[in-house]
Amino acid sequence: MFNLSNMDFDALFNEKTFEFSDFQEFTLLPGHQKLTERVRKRLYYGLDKDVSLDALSCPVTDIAVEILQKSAPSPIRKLHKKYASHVVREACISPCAMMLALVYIERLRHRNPEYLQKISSSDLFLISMMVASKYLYDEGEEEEVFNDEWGTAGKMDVQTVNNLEMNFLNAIEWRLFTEPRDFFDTLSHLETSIAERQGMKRGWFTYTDLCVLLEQSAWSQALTSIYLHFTKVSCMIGLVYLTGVAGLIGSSTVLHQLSLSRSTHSSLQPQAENTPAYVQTSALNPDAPAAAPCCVLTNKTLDASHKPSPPSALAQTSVLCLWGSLLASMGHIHPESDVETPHTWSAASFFCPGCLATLPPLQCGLKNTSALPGRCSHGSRQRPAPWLGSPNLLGAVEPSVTSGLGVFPTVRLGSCHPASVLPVEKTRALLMPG
Amino acid sequence: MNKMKNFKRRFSLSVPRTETIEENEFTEQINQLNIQHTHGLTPDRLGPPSHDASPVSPEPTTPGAQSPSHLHYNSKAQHRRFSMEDVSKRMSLPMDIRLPPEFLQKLQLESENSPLCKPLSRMSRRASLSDIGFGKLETYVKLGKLGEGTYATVFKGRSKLTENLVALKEIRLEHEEGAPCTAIREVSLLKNLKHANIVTLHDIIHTERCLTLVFEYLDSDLKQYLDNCGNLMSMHNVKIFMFQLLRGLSYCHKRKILHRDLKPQNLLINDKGELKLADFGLARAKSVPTKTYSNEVVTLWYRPPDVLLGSTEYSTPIDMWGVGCIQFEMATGRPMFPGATVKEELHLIFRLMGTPTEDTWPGISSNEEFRSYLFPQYRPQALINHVPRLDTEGIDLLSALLLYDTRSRISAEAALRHHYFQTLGDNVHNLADTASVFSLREVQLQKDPGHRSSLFQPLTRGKNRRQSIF
Repeated sequence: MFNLSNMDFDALFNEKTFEFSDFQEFTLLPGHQKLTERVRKRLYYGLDKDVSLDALSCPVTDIAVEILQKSAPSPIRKLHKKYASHVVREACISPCAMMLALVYIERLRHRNPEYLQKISSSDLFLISMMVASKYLYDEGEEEEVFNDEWGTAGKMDVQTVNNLEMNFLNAIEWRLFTEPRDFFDTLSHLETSIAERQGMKRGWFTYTDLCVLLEQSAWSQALTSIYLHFTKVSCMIGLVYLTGVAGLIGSSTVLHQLSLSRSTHSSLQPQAENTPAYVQTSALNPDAPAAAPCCVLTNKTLDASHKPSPPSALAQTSVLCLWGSLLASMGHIHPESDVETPHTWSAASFFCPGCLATLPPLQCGLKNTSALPGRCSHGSRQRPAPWLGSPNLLGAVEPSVTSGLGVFPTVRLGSCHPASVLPVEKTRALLMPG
Repeated sequence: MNKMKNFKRRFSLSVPRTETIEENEFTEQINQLNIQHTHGLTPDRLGPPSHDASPVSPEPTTPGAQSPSHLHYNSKAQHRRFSMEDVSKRMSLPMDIRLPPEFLQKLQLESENSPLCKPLSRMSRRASLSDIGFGKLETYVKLGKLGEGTYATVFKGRSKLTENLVALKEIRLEHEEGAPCTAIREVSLLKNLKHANIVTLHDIIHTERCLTLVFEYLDSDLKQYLDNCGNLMSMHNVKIFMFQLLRGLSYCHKRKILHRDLKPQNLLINDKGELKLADFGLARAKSVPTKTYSNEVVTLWYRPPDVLLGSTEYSTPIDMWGVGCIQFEMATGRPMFPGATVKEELHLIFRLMGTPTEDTWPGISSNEEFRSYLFPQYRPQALINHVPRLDTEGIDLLSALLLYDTRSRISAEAALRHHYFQTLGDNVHNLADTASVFSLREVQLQKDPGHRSSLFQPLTRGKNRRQSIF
């Protein structure tokens, strides 16, 4: 939703359209019309075309008064809204002049804070608006500025106004030229504070308010980060699901192979029949995604070990390690998301140390097997199913890896069979709860 | 004989010292400050002041004896310049400035407390500038009136700080108006324009009665230049002036500043032939969109037809039309469209350039103002018949500048790259903003064929010298 509105408003009102448009082509009136439209909409001037823009809307005056009071903290002749709105009405301050005046006040805050300490906020209001109007409007046009008119509007004599003007110009060192960027920065700042304030006051935000707020970097950043987090979490869940499916397929193929090879060794047949049964249940168990990466790992290392050349096996494992570290890093990116994805965490942490530490495939297998039985017996009480599959499969890796390295040409199975790790009765008990 | 020669040489060396003895005194103080700062000495134990007390040694007999003292002088001179530069740089002052003695004394007092290399705060810089004499009327000596306009008078003057000539533009402050918006615009815009082809604003003196703007002094303008060479300029010089004009203008347009009053009187020219844009009183920045825009801008002769027909939504092309008129004027020696009223002006334009049609000016047929004039249908005339001295490329540029359609009118940036300027070489495009085109060896003015007296003499034509106020 907000993307759409953002784009729409960007195209219409963003200052970038002013900046990047070819200056030759850019004529003033359309630019001003766009600005007028924007000001009407966002600075609460009302969309009624009959209402002229030669005064300030109530919210704008509020904010201007606040900024002025903050900029010039002197307690003498403190600016009040009544005086401000009187001046605004009498002197017909256009929103452009007001924003330009705010740019000047900001400039003074940086360049000449001493001046702001001395001047009263009412005087600063009057004189900054006057100088901005003078700078902005051509001679002979209806907005032309005369100091005496402004003096009347501000209830002071011309001499005081002239002196104030002289001091103001000296304080700002006559630097009234403004880059469009400064101007539009002030405009958007004003829009934001108005939108925020009006929204808070009302209790709900209008569409325009929201559009204004969404243009602000802080707001859009917050929303973007929320959006990114959401995408990441959904990606993680998707990944977990996929690895689960892949694990399922992988384990079934492994089991298929195991059953094939086991059919030649008749002595181990009854137990071999037992193994696929529970491994499959463990894989089918919906709570067991943690087993999945292991299955895949073993499966792939198994594949790799079948190949005669060690370098390719090395490459395969390094690819796996990469994947593992990727998973782990994704897990680390989302420390807050582990409520939703605890399995991913466990999978990654379980998977990685072995992988990262053991690039040589032989070591990998050994480490895993040596590390796992302990953990298995530990975990078997609470969560038996996920862990049960892995020792078996990893156990199967070890000999095959060694065979791949050419030490033992024949495949020796059964050395690390689950039966040797867990008592058969316990497995049965686990298989048939109740 | 040899002795005599040596003596002469020494004498000539010592001459500048006597002339600038005052200056040396101050610089010596600064030098001492520097030494003190670098060696961490206390102020009362400064280096021996005898260095400069005896600049000429009494026995300059052998050439071997001469060279060390010569070197000594050289190193001294270098050192002096360095310290002067140091102060000027620190306060970002012009390099040729001469600081008053009181200021240097104050500087010395201050430096006892704080080291010299510490950067100045804004406030102390402002205070120091005022101490030096900036922003004070007494710093400038009025020499004579250059001209008078509706709201300002221009005087020739001399700055006591730099001993350079300046132009003092005095703006009377009307009680009910305060600082006029023209002055406010001119100052605020010029503060942001630092370019070799734009007049430099040195100082502003703001008093209750009047506002004085201190500009660099240039002794003539393009109008006078043309008068002076009998309206017959060398075509090569036309090219160089055009290039400089476009260079200054392109700099302004890049900053979205419109000059809005280009005419030969506002293009100042100094003895080197450097052309500078002046009088930014009508100029305005387009960086902030505003509702209205005056169409009472640009002197009638140089006003583009779209503004003549009442357009208020103009942009940078408004200045480009005037550039075309100025090019014509330089090449022919007479103004291109010297109309007395808006109608006559339009008539002159249409008679030469052809009455606009939908083809040459999209949207013209729906312009009420244009239709109400009921101009006859003129056919465009070949420009070459009117500007026979201009070459083909020049004519091409001129016709690109004098297009009715503001969208297709050439921009200053593009005009600088026009083939017309190819003979000036490629280096002119790579100059720094503040570097003059004459800093390149290949760019040199030629003698104008119609040139009567010596051009480079100060002009003494008295009263109607400067019709326009800057």
